[in-house]
Amino acid sequence: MKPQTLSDEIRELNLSYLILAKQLILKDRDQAQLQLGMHEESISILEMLSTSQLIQLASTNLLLCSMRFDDEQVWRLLVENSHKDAILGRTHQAILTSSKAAEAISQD
Amino acid sequence: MTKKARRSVIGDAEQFELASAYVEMGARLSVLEAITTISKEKLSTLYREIRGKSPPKGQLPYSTEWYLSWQPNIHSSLFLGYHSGLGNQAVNCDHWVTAKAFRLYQDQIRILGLPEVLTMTRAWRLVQFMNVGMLSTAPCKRCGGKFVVDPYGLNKQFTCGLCKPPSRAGRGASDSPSYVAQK
Repeated sequence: MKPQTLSDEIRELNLSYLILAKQLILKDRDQAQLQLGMHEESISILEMLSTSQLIQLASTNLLLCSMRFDDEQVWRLLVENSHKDAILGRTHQAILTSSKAAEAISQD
Repeated sequence: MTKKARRSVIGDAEQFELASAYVEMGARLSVLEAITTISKEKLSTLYREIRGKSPPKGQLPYSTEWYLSWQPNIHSSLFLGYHSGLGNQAVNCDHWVTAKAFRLYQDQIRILGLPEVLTMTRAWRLVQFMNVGMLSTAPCKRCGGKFVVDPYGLNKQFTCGLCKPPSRAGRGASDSPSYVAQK
């Protein structure tokens, strides 16, 4: 078996991402917009793409999905865990990500 | 629901769909009565068909206090984060937005392994309290996350219950958010 290169892995991740995104959109558009953090226009385009177009789109050595939080403060809070209780820390992260995602959508 | 006056088969079907979704997520009969124009008898039947038992009796929670206590506040704020992320799409009926946000909340709680502190009835009630201004949200000055707060409090100086947990928080077994996970 040929060893997988990192760019193969990027292509695979791109394809999984696009397929997942499309599944989410087909299931529930509004929920998908929040879960993916994607603009409405991009959602409309992705919704129309065929499987072969998705494969074409995925065939690049650049990642198609990127980190949705670019606020430095958010990152610091997500990474550093000041809670003694691990689950409390993860709950805090969940609240932060959901409120930041909501903020990003309302700014559009 | 704004279309109370006109009755149509499609309208009824939509209301039943909404009511079914709410029953599946555990909403009380009084909630169903408030969000639809379906008769109480039909709603009881629907409830029995879905849950296999008679709907419990009792009033809706009327106090905003519950949402402000430590553990419920964490759960309510998480739910509300999803709700405001979904709420911008004006096309949607507000009751569906609540239902979808509650599903996302349940999903996240399951991932975290926490007990479901917020119920569908409480979640729906929270949205009502927000709409009439009896509760509001404020960003925590330390972490920036949005939390449910008393609208008449000093919210510019607000620090959330997670950045600064009360000294007693989580000491008692049953008020720890990880109560079930530790067992």
